[in-house]
Amino acid sequence: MASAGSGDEKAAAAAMITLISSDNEKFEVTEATATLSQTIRHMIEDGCTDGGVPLPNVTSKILARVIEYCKKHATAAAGEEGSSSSFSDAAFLEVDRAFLEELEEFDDAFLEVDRATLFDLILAANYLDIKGLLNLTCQKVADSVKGKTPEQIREMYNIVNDLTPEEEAEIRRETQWAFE
Amino acid sequence: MDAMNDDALSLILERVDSHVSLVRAAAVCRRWRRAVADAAFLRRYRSLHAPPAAGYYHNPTAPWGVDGKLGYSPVFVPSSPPIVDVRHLSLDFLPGGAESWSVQDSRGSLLVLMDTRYHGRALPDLAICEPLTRSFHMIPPPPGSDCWGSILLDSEVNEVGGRISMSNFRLLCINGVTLTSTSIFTAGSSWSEMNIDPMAPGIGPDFRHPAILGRASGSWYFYIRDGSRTLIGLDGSTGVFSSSVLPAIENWDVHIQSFNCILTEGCDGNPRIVALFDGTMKVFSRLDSTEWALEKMIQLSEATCSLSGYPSSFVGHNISTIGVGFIILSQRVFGIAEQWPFSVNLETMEASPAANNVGRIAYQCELPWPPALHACLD
Repeated sequence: MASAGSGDEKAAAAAMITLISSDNEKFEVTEATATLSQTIRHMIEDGCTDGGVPLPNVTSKILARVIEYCKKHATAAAGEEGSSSSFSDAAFLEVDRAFLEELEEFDDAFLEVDRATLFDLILAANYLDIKGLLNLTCQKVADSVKGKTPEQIREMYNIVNDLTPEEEAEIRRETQWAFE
Repeated sequence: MDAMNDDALSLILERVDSHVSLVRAAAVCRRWRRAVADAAFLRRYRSLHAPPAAGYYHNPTAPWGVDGKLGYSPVFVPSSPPIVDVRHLSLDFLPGGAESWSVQDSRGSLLVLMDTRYHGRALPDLAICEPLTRSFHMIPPPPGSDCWGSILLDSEVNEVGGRISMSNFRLLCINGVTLTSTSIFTAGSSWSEMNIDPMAPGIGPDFRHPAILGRASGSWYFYIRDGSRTLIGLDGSTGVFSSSVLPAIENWDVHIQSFNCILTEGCDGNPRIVALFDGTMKVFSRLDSTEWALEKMIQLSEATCSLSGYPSSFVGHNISTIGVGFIILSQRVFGIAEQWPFSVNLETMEASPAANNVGRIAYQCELPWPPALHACLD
């Protein structure tokens, strides 16, 4: 395997990929940023990225946010590789810690979006297969469900209740311990 | 949420890190219910989130009151913070009421109880119950004239990751003190004999009087006080004996004679031996299949002196309660009969104040897995 500083990787890092959103907006990103998406990584490996990568499921508004996330995390990934290839002394650990904290702050701020955007980000992360982003966004929704009643969850996410009162009573009887 | 595809919905639901919240999410609408009740989803969820303990039961050492009536009903102590309302852990649904029963073992969400009204018969009836779903099955006494103890065992892992349930459990009884035979009861079946290999290590003339050190994860552990530091394990699911050697740094024969040494299950499900000696508590874990090693130790006075109510003068410590991942010790206070109990977490070795008189064994009770999700899946 090539080490972080080899010529090949530098050339790869400099290579640019064009992503095309559903509303036909073009985004130029480095390969390092684009390959946080496993979907795009496979396209690059298969050599089918000439002329840009069309992403018909992702709008420009969401793609811009996804790229913002990938840029930040691609830098982080490069940083991690850099420090792990050196022997880890206290200074490196310190830098790592500060960087991780910064990344956490970035993620927290990144999640400050309305619910519609959050869902669009989940769908985009799922489609593009970006593990970190998918985990981050799904966890945010999962955390919001914790401790809520079914009714509160429906209200929060505008979900239509398609269960009759009798069915709801039957469900509660099955697992009464979870409802009182 | 309607735009969310089923894949993404499952990804969200598998990250809900509370079993109670998952069951509530399964009552939001039909789509969410189907997503949660899916076997592959349940299997994956179980692998990510083990069912939490609702708390533990113990058999009281003194009568206590329920609704103004004094008796020996098993007592439930909820986890802190409580996960479910304690009303759902009541054993009042058992025949004759909770006061007729005493807990013998627990595993997962199940308890095995013994009928304490069996006077005049050789062996008592047993019952398996799941308190949270208020369900129980009566089990006839095991064959033979003697039962040394009963232990609940996991079954084969089913398609939703469940290991033990009312329809999927095994119960093992050791028939007599000579340990030559055991009986095993399988859910939906009956008792069958399981013979123990007489050539197994440790089964010799001395094994007639072994000390029971404790049980963990479906195995029983015995010690023979002959100076060889040998611990004999009996795997309840296979009936196979094994032997392992305790470290030479302790005088185990003396520890075990004076009851300041027990074996219990750690938070990780592996066995731990806890020994108290000279104000020190030591925890031993298995190094490999044949040897044990010191894992952790604390000075009890250092660990407890900052707790409120710490008695500055005391005469020693006793092991009062054995639980999964914790142990309750009582400090014998100088000059008075009262004892000062505290709990030690076997993972962090941190001490915290504990309740008095909570019985010898804390029988942990987890939330059921899988939760009942039968209604409205069409």
